[in-house]
Amino acid sequence: MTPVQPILITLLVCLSAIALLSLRSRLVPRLVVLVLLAMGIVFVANPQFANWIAHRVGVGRGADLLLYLFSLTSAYLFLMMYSQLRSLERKVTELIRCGALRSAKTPHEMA
Amino acid sequence: MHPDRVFAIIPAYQEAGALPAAVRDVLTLGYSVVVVDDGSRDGTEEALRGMPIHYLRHATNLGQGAALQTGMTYALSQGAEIMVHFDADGQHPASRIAELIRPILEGECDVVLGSRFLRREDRELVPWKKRIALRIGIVVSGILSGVWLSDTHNGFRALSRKAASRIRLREDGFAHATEILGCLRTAGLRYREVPVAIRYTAYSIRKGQPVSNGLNVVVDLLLSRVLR
Repeated sequence: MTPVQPILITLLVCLSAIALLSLRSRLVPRLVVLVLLAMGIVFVANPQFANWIAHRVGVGRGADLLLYLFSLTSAYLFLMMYSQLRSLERKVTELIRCGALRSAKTPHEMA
Repeated sequence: MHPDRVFAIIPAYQEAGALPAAVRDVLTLGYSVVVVDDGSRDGTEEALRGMPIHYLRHATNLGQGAALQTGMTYALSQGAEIMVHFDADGQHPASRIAELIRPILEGECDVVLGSRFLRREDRELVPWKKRIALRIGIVVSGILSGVWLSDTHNGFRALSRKAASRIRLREDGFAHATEILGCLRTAGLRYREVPVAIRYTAYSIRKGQPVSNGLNVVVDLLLSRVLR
């Protein structure tokens, strides 16, 4: 094992633990995190495994395969976060609208 | 119909300077006015004191689409029969409201949209840079909404009570103009365009949206299509 491997595995475990703790009561995202953690540990511990899969799917190197997977995952996460942001914005809009409607001033009050 | 059943909805953000004159123009004609102050911090409410208007205030700035939806929801609750979207910077001519709402009063349609491109004299009032951007906007809106009009980002429009009840704007920003067109189709509303002249002043051009903002609108619409 090279010196960087235990460092990377420790970081992966720590990040996964934080993600698992923050995803309270959400089973599917937690399972995704666990699967990603397992894959990460396998790829770090055995880099040849990534090369082997890359050859099988027609990508030259394991590093390239991981880069493609990383790009796809990042794009997916970006879209999911954007979607959640829009959902949050809608809730904020409804809240503010509710407040505006409740405190509306009539012509009599303004005049 | 008594004119006070016609509600002019004026979204306003930092328009304390030009807004009172625009409101006065509408009030003179006997229409009801709903000002939706979209989180201004320039004393908009004080500038409107003494005017017999409905005043609503967003606690923070949300955008023109959100302000229009707030105004329409409120106007519906007040028994409005027709709602007119009207700009705060004075570029919409209040004298044209009667022309704008006539097709609705006569039962010809549910929504009337003002267009700057139906008459040559109106078209010539539009600055050339804006004209190009608007032309692109027409094509993009047509593709995204399936409704092809001569002018799509003209904020001067009138809606019947039925139309306003069926339209629910989800786009808080300027993308609402294209969203409304999509609603026309999905809600099965009858619509038509009428010619309007927009008064472009140095003030309204300065306060208006930069042409480059059109790209943001397109991105917003595309993403909201993918991620509803």
